[in-house]
Amino acid sequence: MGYTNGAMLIKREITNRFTKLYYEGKLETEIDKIPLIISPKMAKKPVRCCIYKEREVVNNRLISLLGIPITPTMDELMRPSDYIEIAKQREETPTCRLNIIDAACSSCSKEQHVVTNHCRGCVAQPCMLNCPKNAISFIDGKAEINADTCVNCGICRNVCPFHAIINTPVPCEQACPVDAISKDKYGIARLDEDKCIHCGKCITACPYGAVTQKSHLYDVMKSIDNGKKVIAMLAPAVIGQYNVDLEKIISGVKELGFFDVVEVAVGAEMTAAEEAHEWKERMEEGAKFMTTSCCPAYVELAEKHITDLKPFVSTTPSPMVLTDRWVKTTHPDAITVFVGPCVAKRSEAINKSDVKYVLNFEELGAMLISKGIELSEQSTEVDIAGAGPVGRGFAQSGGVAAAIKTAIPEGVNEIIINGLDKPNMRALKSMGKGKCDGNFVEVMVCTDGCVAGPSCIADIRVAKRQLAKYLNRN
Amino acid sequence: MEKKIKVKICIGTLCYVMGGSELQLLEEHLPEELKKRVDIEGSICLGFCNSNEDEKPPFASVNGKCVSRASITKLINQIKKELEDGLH
Ligand code: FES
Repeated sequence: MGYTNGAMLIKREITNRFTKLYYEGKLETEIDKIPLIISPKMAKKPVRCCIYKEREVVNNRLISLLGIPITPTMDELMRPSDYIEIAKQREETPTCRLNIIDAACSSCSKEQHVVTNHCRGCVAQPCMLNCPKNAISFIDGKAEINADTCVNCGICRNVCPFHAIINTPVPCEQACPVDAISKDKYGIARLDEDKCIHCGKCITACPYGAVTQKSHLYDVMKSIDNGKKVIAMLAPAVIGQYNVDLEKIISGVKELGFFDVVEVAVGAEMTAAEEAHEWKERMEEGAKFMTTSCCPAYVELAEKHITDLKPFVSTTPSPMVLTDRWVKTTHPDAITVFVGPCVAKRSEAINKSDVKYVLNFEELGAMLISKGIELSEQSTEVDIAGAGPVGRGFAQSGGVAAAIKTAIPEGVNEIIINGLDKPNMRALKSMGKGKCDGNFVEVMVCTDGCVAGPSCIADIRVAKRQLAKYLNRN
Repeated sequence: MEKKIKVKICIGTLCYVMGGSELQLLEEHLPEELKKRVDIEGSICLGFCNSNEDEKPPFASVNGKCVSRASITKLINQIKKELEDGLH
Protein backbone atom coordinates (compact mmCIF):
# COMPACT_ATOMS: atom_id res chain seq x y z
CA MET A 1 0.00 0.00 0.00
CA GLY A 2 1.64 3.17 -1.12
CA TYR A 3 -0.79 5.96 -0.45
CA THR A 4 -3.32 6.76 2.19
CA ASN A 5 -6.56 5.09 1.33
CA GLY A 6 -9.74 5.77 3.29
CA ALA A 7 -11.16 2.27 2.81
CA MET A 8 -7.97 0.85 4.26
CA LEU A 9 -8.04 3.20 7.23
CA ILE A 10 -11.61 2.28 8.17
CA LYS A 11 -10.63 -1.37 7.97
CA ARG A 12 -7.68 -0.75 10.27
CA GLU A 13 -9.85 1.18 12.69
CA ILE A 14 -12.25 -1.76 12.89
CA THR A 15 -9.36 -4.16 13.44
CA ASN A 16 -8.00 -1.94 16.21
CA ARG A 17 -11.37 -1.85 17.95
CA PHE A 18 -11.72 -5.60 17.60
CA THR A 19 -8.38 -6.39 19.25
CA LYS A 20 -8.96 -3.75 21.92
CA LEU A 21 -12.24 -5.36 22.97
CA TYR A 22 -10.56 -8.75 22.95
CA TYR A 23 -7.83 -7.61 25.32
CA GLU A 24 -10.36 -5.89 27.56
CA GLY A 25 -12.28 -9.14 27.76
CA LYS A 26 -15.35 -7.48 26.27
CA LEU A 27 -15.43 -8.97 22.80
CA GLU A 28 -18.50 -11.17 23.44
CA THR A 29 -20.57 -8.41 24.93
CA GLU A 30 -19.52 -5.48 22.81
CA ILE A 31 -18.47 -6.65 19.38
CA ASP A 32 -21.95 -5.97 18.01
CA LYS A 33 -21.64 -2.35 19.09
CA ILE A 34 -18.64 -1.67 16.86
CA PRO A 35 -20.77 -1.05 13.73
CA LEU A 36 -22.84 1.48 15.69
CA ILE A 37 -19.71 3.30 16.81
CA ILE A 38 -18.22 3.37 13.33
CA SER A 39 -21.48 4.48 11.72
CA PRO A 40 -23.44 6.28 14.41
CA LYS A 41 -27.02 7.40 14.06
CA MET A 42 -26.20 11.07 13.70
CA ALA A 43 -23.34 10.46 11.29
CA LYS A 44 -22.83 13.66 9.37
CA LYS A 45 -22.48 12.05 6.02
CA PRO A 46 -22.30 8.31 5.49
CA VAL A 47 -19.97 7.40 2.65
CA ARG A 48 -22.20 4.68 1.33
CA CYS A 49 -25.91 5.16 0.72
CA CYS A 50 -26.90 5.02 4.39
CA ILE A 51 -25.59 4.09 7.82
CA TYR A 52 -27.40 0.75 7.75
CA LYS A 53 -25.46 -0.42 4.75
CA GLU A 54 -22.24 0.77 6.34
CA ARG A 55 -23.05 -1.11 9.52
CA GLU A 56 -23.69 -4.26 7.52
CA VAL A 57 -20.27 -3.93 5.92
CA VAL A 58 -18.66 -3.47 9.35
CA ASN A 59 -20.51 -6.55 10.60
CA ASN A 60 -19.07 -8.54 7.74
CA ARG A 61 -15.59 -7.26 8.43
CA LEU A 62 -15.89 -8.31 12.05
CA ILE A 63 -17.05 -11.77 11.06
CA SER A 64 -14.08 -11.98 8.73
CA LEU A 65 -11.80 -10.90 11.58
CA LEU A 66 -13.14 -13.88 13.50
CA GLY A 67 -11.84 -16.08 10.70
CA ILE A 68 -15.28 -16.90 9.32
CA PRO A 69 -15.82 -16.89 5.54
CA ILE A 70 -18.16 -14.29 4.09
CA THR A 71 -20.33 -16.05 1.54
CA PRO A 72 -23.47 -15.09 -0.37
CA THR A 73 -25.39 -17.84 1.40
CA MET A 74 -24.43 -17.08 4.98
CA ASP A 75 -27.15 -16.70 7.58
CA GLU A 76 -28.06 -13.05 7.69
CA LEU A 77 -29.58 -13.29 11.13
CA MET A 78 -26.23 -14.15 12.68
CA ARG A 79 -24.42 -11.23 14.34
CA PRO A 80 -20.64 -11.16 14.82
CA SER A 81 -21.09 -12.16 18.47
CA ASP A 82 -22.85 -15.34 17.34
CA TYR A 83 -19.66 -16.48 15.64
CA ILE A 84 -17.33 -16.06 18.61
CA GLU A 85 -18.12 -19.48 19.99
CA ILE A 86 -17.21 -21.08 16.66
CA ALA A 87 -13.93 -19.19 16.59
CA LYS A 88 -13.25 -20.18 20.19
CA GLN A 89 -13.76 -23.89 19.57
CA ARG A 90 -11.92 -23.97 16.28
CA GLU A 91 -8.68 -25.93 16.18
CA GLU A 92 -8.01 -25.79 12.47
CA THR A 93 -6.61 -22.76 10.65
CA PRO A 94 -9.13 -20.65 8.70
CA THR A 95 -8.53 -21.13 4.97
CA CYS A 96 -6.78 -18.62 2.78
CA ARG A 97 -9.55 -18.04 0.26
CA LEU A 98 -10.38 -14.39 -0.38
CA ASN A 99 -14.00 -13.37 0.10
CA ILE A 100 -16.11 -10.60 -1.34
CA ILE A 101 -18.31 -8.63 1.03
CA ASP A 102 -21.38 -8.32 -1.18
CA ALA A 103 -22.73 -5.35 0.75
CA ALA A 104 -19.46 -3.53 0.22
CA CYS A 105 -19.07 -4.29 -3.49
CA SER A 106 -20.50 -1.36 -5.37
CA SER A 107 -21.08 -3.39 -8.55
CA CYS A 108 -19.06 -0.90 -10.56
CA SER A 109 -20.26 -0.65 -14.12
CA LYS A 110 -18.46 -2.68 -16.73
CA GLU A 111 -15.24 -1.22 -18.08
CA GLN A 112 -16.02 1.33 -20.76
CA HIS A 113 -14.60 4.22 -22.72
CA VAL A 114 -16.70 7.35 -22.44
CA VAL A 115 -16.58 10.60 -24.36
CA THR A 116 -16.80 13.44 -21.86
CA ASN A 117 -18.24 16.87 -22.57
CA HIS A 118 -14.74 18.14 -23.28
CA CYS A 119 -15.10 16.76 -26.79
CA ARG A 120 -15.06 19.73 -29.15
CA GLY A 121 -15.88 17.81 -32.28
CA CYS A 122 -12.60 18.83 -33.82
CA VAL A 123 -11.74 18.70 -37.49
CA ALA A 124 -9.06 16.05 -37.08
CA GLN A 125 -11.45 13.52 -35.51
CA PRO A 126 -8.56 11.15 -34.76
CA CYS A 127 -10.70 9.04 -32.44
CA MET A 128 -13.06 8.07 -35.21
CA LEU A 129 -10.40 7.68 -37.88
CA ASN A 130 -8.14 5.48 -35.76
CA CYS A 131 -10.75 3.26 -34.15
CA PRO A 132 -10.04 -0.27 -35.38
CA LYS A 133 -13.64 -1.32 -34.76
CA ASN A 134 -15.46 1.60 -36.33
CA ALA A 135 -17.14 2.13 -32.99
CA ILE A 136 -17.06 5.92 -33.08
CA SER A 137 -19.36 8.24 -34.93
CA PHE A 138 -19.97 11.97 -34.73
CA ILE A 139 -23.45 12.96 -33.70
CA ASP A 140 -24.39 16.63 -33.35
CA GLY A 141 -20.72 17.56 -33.63
CA LYS A 142 -19.56 15.26 -30.85
CA ALA A 143 -17.95 11.86 -30.78
CA GLU A 144 -19.99 8.95 -29.53
CA ILE A 145 -18.78 5.47 -28.76
CA ASN A 146 -20.92 2.49 -29.59
CA ALA A 147 -20.58 0.32 -26.52
CA ASP A 148 -21.56 -2.83 -28.41
CA THR A 149 -18.66 -2.69 -30.82
CA CYS A 150 -16.04 -0.97 -28.60
CA VAL A 151 -13.37 -3.37 -27.34
CA ASN A 152 -11.75 -0.92 -24.88
CA CYS A 153 -8.48 -0.89 -26.79
CA GLY A 154 -7.87 2.71 -25.67
CA ILE A 155 -6.62 4.07 -28.99
CA CYS A 156 -9.24 6.85 -29.09
CA ARG A 157 -8.31 7.91 -25.58
CA ASN A 158 -4.66 8.11 -26.52
CA VAL A 159 -5.15 10.06 -29.72
CA CYS A 160 -7.70 12.63 -28.53
CA PRO A 161 -5.88 15.97 -28.42
CA PHE A 162 -8.19 17.25 -25.66
CA HIS A 163 -8.05 14.22 -23.35
CA ALA A 164 -11.79 14.18 -23.76
CA ILE A 165 -12.15 10.39 -23.71
CA ILE A 166 -11.79 8.55 -20.45
CA ASN A 167 -11.69 4.94 -19.47
CA THR A 168 -13.65 3.82 -16.43
CA PRO A 169 -12.16 0.49 -15.43
CA VAL A 170 -13.39 -1.97 -12.85
CA PRO A 171 -10.57 -1.53 -10.33
CA CYS A 172 -10.48 -5.11 -9.05
CA GLU A 173 -10.61 -6.62 -12.52
CA GLN A 174 -7.96 -4.24 -13.75
CA ALA A 175 -5.67 -5.05 -10.84
CA CYS A 176 -5.97 -8.82 -11.11
CA PRO A 177 -3.08 -10.13 -13.21
CA VAL A 178 -4.75 -13.49 -13.88
CA ASP A 179 -8.40 -12.63 -14.62
CA ALA A 180 -9.58 -14.38 -11.49
CA ILE A 181 -12.15 -11.77 -10.57
CA SER A 182 -15.25 -10.97 -12.57
CA LYS A 183 -18.86 -9.98 -12.09
CA ASP A 184 -21.80 -12.25 -11.49
CA LYS A 185 -25.17 -11.54 -13.04
CA TYR A 186 -25.92 -8.94 -10.38
CA GLY A 187 -22.70 -7.08 -11.12
CA ILE A 188 -21.08 -8.19 -7.85
CA ALA A 189 -17.46 -9.26 -8.00
CA ARG A 190 -16.76 -12.98 -7.70
CA LEU A 191 -13.41 -14.64 -7.26
CA ASP A 192 -12.47 -17.84 -8.98
CA GLU A 193 -10.41 -19.81 -6.48
CA ASP A 194 -9.04 -22.05 -9.23
CA LYS A 195 -7.45 -19.02 -10.84
CA CYS A 196 -6.66 -16.86 -7.79
CA ILE A 197 -2.97 -16.66 -6.89
CA HIS A 198 -3.68 -14.70 -3.68
CA CYS A 199 -1.49 -11.79 -4.70
CA GLY A 200 -3.83 -9.43 -2.88
CA LYS A 201 -3.85 -6.81 -5.62
CA CYS A 202 -7.67 -6.70 -5.64
CA ILE A 203 -7.73 -6.06 -1.89
CA THR A 204 -5.69 -2.91 -2.36
CA ALA A 205 -7.36 -1.86 -5.59
CA CYS A 206 -11.01 -1.98 -4.52
CA PRO A 207 -12.01 1.56 -3.51
CA TYR A 208 -14.80 0.08 -1.39
CA GLY A 209 -12.67 -2.38 0.51
CA ALA A 210 -14.93 -5.20 -0.63
CA VAL A 211 -12.32 -7.94 -0.82
CA THR A 212 -11.38 -9.50 2.47
CA GLN A 213 -9.32 -12.35 3.79
CA LYS A 214 -10.21 -14.36 6.85
CA SER A 215 -8.05 -13.23 9.72
CA HIS A 216 -6.14 -15.44 12.13
CA LEU A 217 -6.04 -12.70 14.77
CA TYR A 218 -8.55 -14.33 17.07
CA ASP A 219 -6.81 -17.69 16.85
CA VAL A 220 -3.43 -16.19 17.64
CA MET A 221 -4.67 -14.16 20.62
CA LYS A 222 -6.61 -17.16 21.87
CA SER A 223 -3.61 -19.48 21.60
CA ILE A 224 -1.46 -17.04 23.56
CA ASP A 225 -4.16 -16.72 26.21
CA ASN A 226 -4.46 -20.48 26.47
CA GLY A 227 -0.81 -20.62 27.44
CA LYS A 228 0.37 -22.23 24.23
CA LYS A 229 3.93 -21.81 23.08
CA VAL A 230 3.25 -19.31 20.32
CA ILE A 231 6.28 -18.16 18.37
CA ALA A 232 6.17 -15.17 16.04
CA MET A 233 8.28 -15.25 12.89
CA LEU A 234 8.75 -11.76 11.49
CA ALA A 235 9.21 -11.37 7.74
CA PRO A 236 12.27 -9.36 6.65
CA ALA A 237 10.00 -6.57 5.39
CA VAL A 238 9.12 -5.75 9.00
CA ILE A 239 12.26 -3.65 9.22
CA GLY A 240 10.75 -0.91 7.06
CA GLN A 241 7.40 -0.85 8.76
CA TYR A 242 7.19 0.68 12.20
CA ASN A 243 9.63 3.58 12.18
CA VAL A 244 11.82 2.04 14.86
CA ASP A 245 14.77 -0.29 14.75
CA LEU A 246 14.18 -4.01 14.49
CA GLU A 247 15.33 -4.58 18.05
CA LYS A 248 12.49 -2.45 19.38
CA ILE A 249 9.95 -4.17 17.18
CA ILE A 250 11.05 -7.54 18.51
CA SER A 251 10.85 -6.36 22.12
CA GLY A 252 7.38 -4.95 21.47
CA VAL A 253 6.11 -8.12 19.86
CA LYS A 254 7.44 -10.16 22.77
CA GLU A 255 5.38 -7.97 25.09
CA LEU A 256 2.28 -9.30 23.35
CA GLY A 257 2.86 -12.63 25.04
CA PHE A 258 4.65 -14.56 22.33
CA PHE A 259 6.93 -17.22 23.74
CA ASP A 260 9.62 -16.10 21.35
CA VAL A 261 10.08 -13.82 18.36
CA VAL A 262 12.40 -14.75 15.52
CA GLU A 263 13.35 -13.27 12.18
CA VAL A 264 12.42 -15.05 8.98
CA ALA A 265 15.62 -13.51 7.61
CA VAL A 266 17.34 -16.43 9.35
CA GLY A 267 15.45 -18.85 7.12
CA ALA A 268 16.12 -16.55 4.16
CA GLU A 269 19.85 -17.06 4.61
CA MET A 270 19.28 -20.81 4.59
CA THR A 271 17.13 -20.49 1.48
CA ALA A 272 19.85 -18.45 -0.22
CA ALA A 273 22.53 -21.03 0.56
CA GLU A 274 20.40 -23.96 -0.53
CA GLU A 275 19.11 -22.20 -3.61
CA ALA A 276 22.62 -21.26 -4.72
CA HIS A 277 23.57 -24.92 -4.40
CA GLU A 278 20.52 -26.02 -6.35
CA TRP A 279 21.23 -23.48 -9.08
CA LYS A 280 24.76 -24.77 -9.51
CA GLU A 281 23.53 -28.33 -9.76
CA ARG A 282 20.88 -27.44 -12.30
CA MET A 283 23.38 -25.52 -14.41
CA GLU A 284 25.72 -28.49 -14.37
CA GLU A 285 22.86 -30.67 -15.54
CA GLY A 286 22.40 -28.31 -18.46
CA ALA A 287 19.30 -26.39 -17.37
CA LYS A 288 18.82 -23.07 -19.15
CA PHE A 289 17.77 -21.15 -16.08
CA MET A 290 16.14 -21.40 -12.68
CA THR A 291 13.63 -19.11 -11.00
CA THR A 292 13.22 -18.27 -7.34
CA SER A 293 10.46 -19.83 -5.26
CA CYS A 294 10.18 -17.58 -2.23
CA CYS A 295 7.30 -15.46 -3.54
CA PRO A 296 4.22 -17.64 -2.94
CA ALA A 297 2.02 -15.73 -5.38
CA TYR A 298 4.56 -16.39 -8.12
CA VAL A 299 4.66 -20.09 -7.27
CA GLU A 300 0.86 -20.20 -7.54
CA LEU A 301 1.13 -18.36 -10.85
CA ALA A 302 3.44 -21.05 -12.17
CA GLU A 303 1.18 -23.79 -10.83
CA LYS A 304 -2.12 -22.41 -12.03
CA HIS A 305 -1.35 -20.33 -15.10
CA ILE A 306 2.11 -20.62 -16.61
CA THR A 307 2.59 -24.32 -16.04
CA ASP A 308 5.44 -24.37 -18.55
CA LEU A 309 7.49 -22.51 -15.96
CA LYS A 310 7.01 -25.07 -13.23
CA PRO A 311 10.06 -27.20 -14.04
CA PHE A 312 12.21 -24.06 -13.81
CA VAL A 313 10.99 -23.06 -10.35
CA SER A 314 13.46 -23.78 -7.59
CA THR A 315 12.41 -26.53 -5.22
CA THR A 316 14.26 -24.98 -2.30
CA PRO A 317 11.82 -24.29 0.54
CA SER A 318 10.91 -20.68 1.21
CA PRO A 319 12.41 -18.66 4.07
CA MET A 320 9.16 -19.07 6.01
CA VAL A 321 9.28 -22.84 5.76
CA LEU A 322 12.95 -23.07 6.71
CA THR A 323 12.48 -20.70 9.62
CA ASP A 324 9.58 -22.82 10.82
CA ARG A 325 11.70 -25.99 10.66
CA TRP A 326 14.55 -24.24 12.45
CA VAL A 327 12.24 -23.05 15.24
CA LYS A 328 10.80 -26.53 15.62
CA THR A 329 14.15 -28.20 16.08
CA THR A 330 14.27 -26.57 19.51
CA HIS A 331 10.52 -26.19 20.09
CA PRO A 332 8.75 -29.06 18.37
CA ASP A 333 5.54 -28.23 20.21
CA ALA A 334 5.46 -24.58 19.16
CA ILE A 335 2.59 -22.93 17.34
CA THR A 336 4.30 -20.81 14.73
CA VAL A 337 2.87 -17.57 13.39
CA PHE A 338 4.29 -15.90 10.29
CA VAL A 339 3.95 -12.12 10.41
CA GLY A 340 4.32 -10.36 7.10
CA PRO A 341 3.01 -8.02 4.44
CA CYS A 342 1.72 -10.79 2.21
CA VAL A 343 -1.67 -12.21 1.34
CA ALA A 344 -0.35 -15.25 -0.51
CA LYS A 345 1.73 -16.37 2.47
CA ARG A 346 -1.55 -17.45 4.09
CA SER A 347 -2.09 -19.78 1.22
CA GLU A 348 1.45 -21.13 1.41
CA ALA A 349 1.33 -21.47 5.20
CA ILE A 350 -1.92 -23.39 5.20
CA ASN A 351 -1.45 -25.55 2.13
CA LYS A 352 2.26 -26.18 2.00
CA SER A 353 3.81 -25.79 5.42
CA ASP A 354 3.54 -26.52 9.12
CA VAL A 355 3.13 -22.86 9.97
CA LYS A 356 -0.12 -22.62 11.85
CA TYR A 357 -1.17 -19.00 11.51
CA VAL A 358 -0.34 -15.88 9.53
CA LEU A 359 -0.77 -12.32 10.70
CA ASN A 360 -0.18 -9.25 8.62
CA PHE A 361 1.44 -5.98 9.63
CA GLU A 362 -1.92 -4.26 10.05
CA GLU A 363 -3.08 -6.96 12.43
CA LEU A 364 0.16 -6.93 14.38
CA GLY A 365 -0.16 -3.15 14.59
CA ALA A 366 -3.68 -3.51 15.97
CA MET A 367 -2.44 -5.88 18.68
CA LEU A 368 0.34 -3.49 19.69
CA ILE A 369 -1.94 -0.46 19.76
CA SER A 370 -4.64 -2.26 21.74
CA LYS A 371 -2.15 -3.42 24.34
CA GLY A 372 -0.78 0.09 24.61
CA ILE A 373 2.69 -1.02 23.49
CA GLU A 374 4.62 1.98 22.20
CA LEU A 375 7.36 0.63 19.96
CA SER A 376 9.57 3.69 20.29
CA GLU A 377 9.75 3.10 24.05
CA GLN A 378 10.83 -0.52 23.79
CA SER A 379 14.18 -1.82 24.85
CA THR A 380 16.90 -2.43 22.31
CA GLU A 381 18.40 -5.15 24.47
CA VAL A 382 17.40 -8.15 22.43
CA ASP A 383 19.47 -10.81 20.86
CA ILE A 384 19.02 -10.70 17.11
CA ALA A 385 21.94 -12.83 16.14
CA GLY A 386 21.33 -15.25 13.33
CA ALA A 387 20.36 -13.07 10.41
CA GLY A 388 22.36 -10.56 8.45
CA PRO A 389 21.88 -8.19 5.53
CA VAL A 390 21.74 -11.07 3.05
CA GLY A 391 18.60 -12.57 4.59
CA ARG A 392 17.04 -9.24 5.43
CA GLY A 393 17.57 -8.07 1.87
CA PHE A 394 14.98 -10.63 0.67
CA ALA A 395 12.40 -7.97 1.51
CA GLN A 396 13.05 -6.00 -1.64
CA SER A 397 13.23 -6.58 -5.32
CA GLY A 398 16.73 -7.65 -6.29
CA GLY A 399 17.49 -8.91 -2.80
CA VAL A 400 17.26 -12.61 -3.57
CA ALA A 401 19.42 -12.35 -6.67
CA ALA A 402 21.95 -10.38 -4.64
CA ALA A 403 22.00 -13.14 -2.03
CA ILE A 404 22.64 -15.77 -4.68
CA LYS A 405 25.42 -13.70 -6.16
CA THR A 406 27.02 -13.35 -2.77
CA ALA A 407 27.08 -17.12 -2.53
CA ILE A 408 28.25 -17.61 -6.10
CA PRO A 409 30.26 -14.57 -7.22
CA GLU A 410 30.66 -15.70 -10.80
CA GLY A 411 28.46 -17.01 -13.55
CA VAL A 412 25.10 -15.81 -12.26
CA ASN A 413 23.38 -13.81 -14.93
CA GLU A 414 20.24 -12.56 -13.27
CA ILE A 415 16.93 -11.32 -14.60
CA ILE A 416 14.73 -9.46 -12.15
CA ILE A 417 10.98 -9.64 -12.53
CA ASN A 418 9.86 -6.78 -10.33
CA GLY A 419 6.08 -6.90 -10.09
CA LEU A 420 3.46 -8.65 -12.19
CA ASP A 421 2.53 -6.01 -14.74
CA LYS A 422 1.58 -6.90 -18.30
CA PRO A 423 5.11 -6.80 -19.81
CA ASN A 424 6.43 -8.97 -16.99
CA MET A 425 3.57 -11.42 -17.46
CA ARG A 426 4.54 -11.67 -21.13
CA ALA A 427 8.19 -12.11 -20.21
CA LEU A 428 7.36 -14.95 -17.81
CA LYS A 429 5.20 -16.67 -20.40
CA SER A 430 7.99 -16.63 -22.93
CA MET A 431 10.43 -17.90 -20.31
CA GLY A 432 8.10 -20.85 -19.88
CA LYS A 433 8.74 -21.50 -23.55
CA GLY A 434 12.46 -21.57 -22.79
CA LYS A 435 13.26 -18.03 -23.94
CA CYS A 436 15.35 -16.44 -21.24
CA ASP A 437 18.36 -14.16 -21.55
CA GLY A 438 19.67 -14.97 -18.10
CA ASN A 439 20.26 -18.08 -16.06
CA PHE A 440 18.75 -16.95 -12.76
CA VAL A 441 15.34 -15.31 -12.55
CA GLU A 442 14.15 -13.58 -9.42
CA VAL A 443 10.39 -13.09 -9.37
CA MET A 444 8.44 -10.91 -6.98
CA VAL A 445 4.77 -10.36 -7.68
CA CYS A 446 4.64 -7.09 -5.75
CA THR A 447 6.44 -4.22 -7.46
CA ASP A 448 9.46 -3.31 -5.30
CA GLY A 449 9.14 -6.58 -3.41
CA CYS A 450 7.73 -7.45 -0.01
CA VAL A 451 8.39 -3.95 1.39
CA ALA A 452 5.47 -2.95 -0.81
CA GLY A 453 3.24 -5.91 0.02
CA PRO A 454 -0.54 -5.47 0.19
CA SER A 455 -0.63 -5.48 3.99
CA CYS A 456 2.20 -3.05 4.61
CA ILE A 457 1.44 -0.07 6.78
CA ALA A 458 4.35 2.18 5.86
CA ASP A 459 4.59 4.35 2.78
CA ILE A 460 6.74 2.45 0.29
CA ARG A 461 9.35 5.22 -0.03
CA VAL A 462 9.69 5.44 3.73
CA ALA A 463 9.84 1.67 4.13
CA LYS A 464 12.54 1.30 1.50
CA ARG A 465 14.65 4.01 3.05
CA GLN A 466 14.32 2.58 6.49
CA LEU A 467 15.29 -0.88 5.30
CA ALA A 468 18.32 0.50 3.46
CA LYS A 469 19.36 2.46 6.52
CA TYR A 470 19.14 -0.60 8.72
CA LEU A 471 20.98 -2.84 6.29
CA ASN A 472 23.81 -0.31 6.02
CA ARG A 473 24.03 0.03 9.77
CA ASN A 474 24.85 -3.63 10.08
CA MET B 1 15.24 36.55 14.10
CA GLU B 2 11.82 35.36 13.10
CA LYS B 3 10.41 32.59 15.22
CA LYS B 4 10.10 29.29 13.42
CA ILE B 5 6.87 27.37 12.99
CA LYS B 6 7.05 24.27 15.11
CA VAL B 7 5.72 21.07 13.58
CA LYS B 8 5.47 17.92 15.64
CA ILE B 9 4.74 14.67 13.90
CA CYS B 10 3.40 11.84 16.00
CA ILE B 11 5.40 8.67 15.62
CA GLY B 12 3.26 6.77 18.11
CA THR B 13 2.39 3.27 16.98
CA LEU B 14 -1.28 4.15 16.50
CA CYS B 15 -0.63 7.15 14.26
CA TYR B 16 1.96 5.25 12.31
CA VAL B 17 -0.30 2.29 11.63
CA MET B 18 -3.12 4.65 10.68
CA GLY B 19 -1.20 6.16 7.80
CA GLY B 20 1.29 8.47 9.51
CA SER B 21 4.37 7.07 7.84
CA GLU B 22 3.97 9.38 4.85
CA LEU B 23 4.56 12.37 7.14
CA GLN B 24 8.19 11.32 7.45
CA LEU B 25 8.56 12.83 3.99
CA LEU B 26 7.21 16.26 4.98
CA GLU B 27 10.59 17.92 5.16
CA GLU B 28 11.54 17.12 1.58
CA HIS B 29 8.11 18.11 0.28
CA LEU B 30 8.19 21.55 1.85
CA PRO B 31 8.30 24.33 -0.73
CA GLU B 32 11.76 25.97 -0.79
CA GLU B 33 10.50 29.21 0.71
CA LEU B 34 9.12 27.41 3.74
CA LYS B 35 12.09 25.18 4.50
CA LYS B 36 13.95 27.70 6.63
CA ARG B 37 10.89 28.83 8.49
CA VAL B 38 9.81 25.48 9.88
CA ASP B 39 11.16 23.20 12.56
CA ILE B 40 10.01 19.60 12.22
CA GLU B 41 10.39 17.00 14.88
CA GLY B 42 9.06 13.53 15.51
CA SER B 43 7.29 13.05 18.79
CA ILE B 44 5.96 10.18 20.84
CA CYS B 45 2.18 10.04 21.27
CA LEU B 46 0.95 13.62 21.23
CA GLY B 47 -2.01 12.62 23.36
CA PHE B 48 -4.60 13.54 20.75
CA CYS B 49 -5.55 9.94 20.13
CA ASN B 50 -7.14 9.63 23.55
CA SER B 51 -8.85 12.97 23.74
CA ASN B 52 -11.46 13.05 21.03
CA GLU B 53 -13.31 10.25 19.25
CA ASP B 54 -14.28 12.54 16.38
CA GLU B 55 -10.76 13.40 15.37
CA LYS B 56 -8.95 10.64 13.56
CA PRO B 57 -5.27 9.71 13.43
CA PRO B 58 -2.64 10.26 12.16
CA PHE B 59 -2.00 13.33 14.26
CA ALA B 60 0.50 16.15 14.05
CA SER B 61 0.63 19.59 15.57
CA VAL B 62 1.57 22.93 14.05
CA ASN B 63 2.53 25.51 16.66
CA GLY B 64 0.66 23.41 19.18
CA LYS B 65 -2.54 23.20 17.15
CA CYS B 66 -3.80 19.69 16.46
CA VAL B 67 -4.01 18.50 12.87
CA SER B 68 -5.98 15.27 12.52
CA ARG B 69 -6.00 12.89 9.52
CA ALA B 70 -2.75 14.65 8.80
CA SER B 71 -1.25 14.47 5.34
CA ILE B 72 1.67 16.31 3.80
CA THR B 73 -0.65 18.67 1.92
CA LYS B 74 -2.74 19.38 5.00
CA LEU B 75 0.33 20.17 7.06
CA ILE B 76 1.79 22.49 4.43
CA ASN B 77 -1.49 24.39 4.28
CA GLN B 78 -1.58 24.68 8.05
CA ILE B 79 2.01 25.93 8.11
CA LYS B 80 1.16 28.58 5.51
CA LYS B 81 -1.84 29.61 7.56
CA GLU B 82 0.26 29.96 10.69
CA LEU B 83 2.75 32.12 8.80
CA GLU B 84 -0.01 34.37 7.50
CA ASP B 85 -1.66 34.66 10.90
CA GLY B 86 1.71 35.56 12.35
CA LEU B 87 1.79 38.65 10.14
CA HIS B 88 -1.38 40.13 11.60
S1 FES C 1 -0.34 7.85 18.95
FE1 FES C 1 -0.37 9.66 17.80
S2 FES C 1 -1.43 11.03 19.09
FE2 FES C 1 -1.33 9.22 20.27
